Amino acid sequence: MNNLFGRLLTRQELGDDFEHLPANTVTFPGMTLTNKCAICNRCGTSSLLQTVKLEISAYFCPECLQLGRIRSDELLYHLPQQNFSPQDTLLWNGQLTPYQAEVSRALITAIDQKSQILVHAVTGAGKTEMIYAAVSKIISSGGTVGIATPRTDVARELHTRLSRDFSIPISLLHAESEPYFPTPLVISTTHQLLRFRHAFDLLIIDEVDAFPFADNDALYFAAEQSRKMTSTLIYLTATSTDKLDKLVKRGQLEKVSLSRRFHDNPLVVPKVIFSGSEKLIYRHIKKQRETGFPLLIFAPVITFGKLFSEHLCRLFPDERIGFVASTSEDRVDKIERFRQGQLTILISTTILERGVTFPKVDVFVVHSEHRLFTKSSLIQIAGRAGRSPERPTGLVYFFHTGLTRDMTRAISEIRQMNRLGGFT
Amino acid sequence: MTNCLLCHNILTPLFQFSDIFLSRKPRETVCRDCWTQFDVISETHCQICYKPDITGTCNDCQQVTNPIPHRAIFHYNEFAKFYFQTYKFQGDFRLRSAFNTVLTSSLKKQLIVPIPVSPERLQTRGFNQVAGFLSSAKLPFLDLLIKNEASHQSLKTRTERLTSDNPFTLKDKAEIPDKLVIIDDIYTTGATLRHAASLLKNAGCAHVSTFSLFR
Repeated sequence: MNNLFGRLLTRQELGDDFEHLPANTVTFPGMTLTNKCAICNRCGTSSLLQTVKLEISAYFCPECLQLGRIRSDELLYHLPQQNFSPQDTLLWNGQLTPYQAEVSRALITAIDQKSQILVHAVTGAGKTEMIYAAVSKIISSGGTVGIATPRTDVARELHTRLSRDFSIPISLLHAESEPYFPTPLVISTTHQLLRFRHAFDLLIIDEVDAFPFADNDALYFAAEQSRKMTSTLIYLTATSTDKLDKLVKRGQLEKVSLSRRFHDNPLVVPKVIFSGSEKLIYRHIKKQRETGFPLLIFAPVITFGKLFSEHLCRLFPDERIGFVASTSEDRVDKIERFRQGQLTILISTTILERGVTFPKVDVFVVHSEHRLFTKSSLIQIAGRAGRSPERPTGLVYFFHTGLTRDMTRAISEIRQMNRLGGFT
Repeated sequence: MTNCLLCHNILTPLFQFSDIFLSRKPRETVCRDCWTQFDVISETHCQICYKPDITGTCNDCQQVTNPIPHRAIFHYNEFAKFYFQTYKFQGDFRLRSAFNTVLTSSLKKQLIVPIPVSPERLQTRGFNQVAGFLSSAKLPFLDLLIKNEASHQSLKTRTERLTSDNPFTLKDKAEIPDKLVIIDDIYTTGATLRHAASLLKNAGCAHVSTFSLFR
């Protein structure tokens, strides 16, 4: 029963708890029906009646189906969130750079004012440490903090780091996770926010620019529903999105920028190279291999990436080459081997665009004109280079067969962040 | 712009000249990459029950007197399992339109009886998966059978399935035609279809055959 406070669950999710629901349980119909549409009360998606009608006289929501189907003739259950006992939980005692400390202070002010704030920090700025003071402040006043991110890998990584730096058990929620348990600190994928209602005093959304959050109205809806009516919302991102920029312009969202990497060197500006034939790409790879630095190559789709890595294996028999995609089971192992230098070239789809650090790496993008390489994706990819203090520079090449708007916008945004950081 | 039902990637439909000429809507609902993952049963299969990779008649069918002829389209492979996971168990009713063209071309002008689901299951799932296929393909069908609630087929062992009692009864005042085809989504042991077929045969239907999308 404890698990129902601040949550929004279906009959199936309640399981045996359904038999002893307390009297103050709030129930909602699964969907609200209008003349033309059925609107889901969990994810807010509106669907045309005729497309979501079941054979019986009920409707279902296709958008949030993976979390268990919502039906118009079934109910959703909720209990108001309860406070936790105030406690001091921060174990971390590292030092913030002056730039990080400035952002950290801005976040504390946002908490005091219960406002919304966007932190635009370049890749490799050290975002995670900047939120610690804010998180710790809420927990020490008995409140609840939710940290959500679109990527499961990023959620896992955050959970590992915060479990080390905070002294309380943290509930980690994603599609294959253990069940939820009540605790003042929850780390989840953005989809899992759909199962919360008015639960968080502070909600932090990391990597807002990543798929599937960026263009998904249901997930924005989830973020709004999951936090308390008066609460603080922090967006963290390395690339701003049009949607958030609009909110900033309208004055509904405050924005702070951090344009310096923690090692005080500028971002690497990508170079675009027109490559009508792949021969040119091979020539650049050959030249890069003479330096001995590891090479990370991004390919747009799995089929092409596989083919390209086979070509490379034939052309460069002396190199140790690996290929990873969302479908490869040994991806964690290959990534680790590349990090340790056992692999010299790693070819990847966009799954490695964020959240990973390979020291001293050079980054090539093949077919950077592909529609999957969006502005934010290209900025993240370019951000893989120059992350370590030992080699704060590197090569970033976009091989293309025609410039796209996303490519030029990515490069101008990187240049702009460098200017803001005081580099010319 | 439409998206593939299964992988949600953008679907680029193959237009024929006549489609443009007659301003017909594209009929595909599944992209080619997904479609090729459904494994079509080859020419070598049991002549009676469609068991794959058998030349002539399989051992099981040789032992049965008057076996019921069966037809199937696809192997029940991992991809099909994944499909039914989403369609039946997650309950994404939109997926019913995945097999429109296949069903219309293989079941044209036949009298079709779908395998029913029990009233309880119809309530929890919200639809009958077979009737969903047929109505989406705009194929008319006869609703002759009633399913009595029993435990789910997929929870039983093979012997339990083969020896269990007939779970079907005929609807009151059902008029039985002379020739019909009973259809189900998946054929595993064939017990379900055989029960339905024997019931209809005993009720006076002379030519009963069976059909399933997957085997």
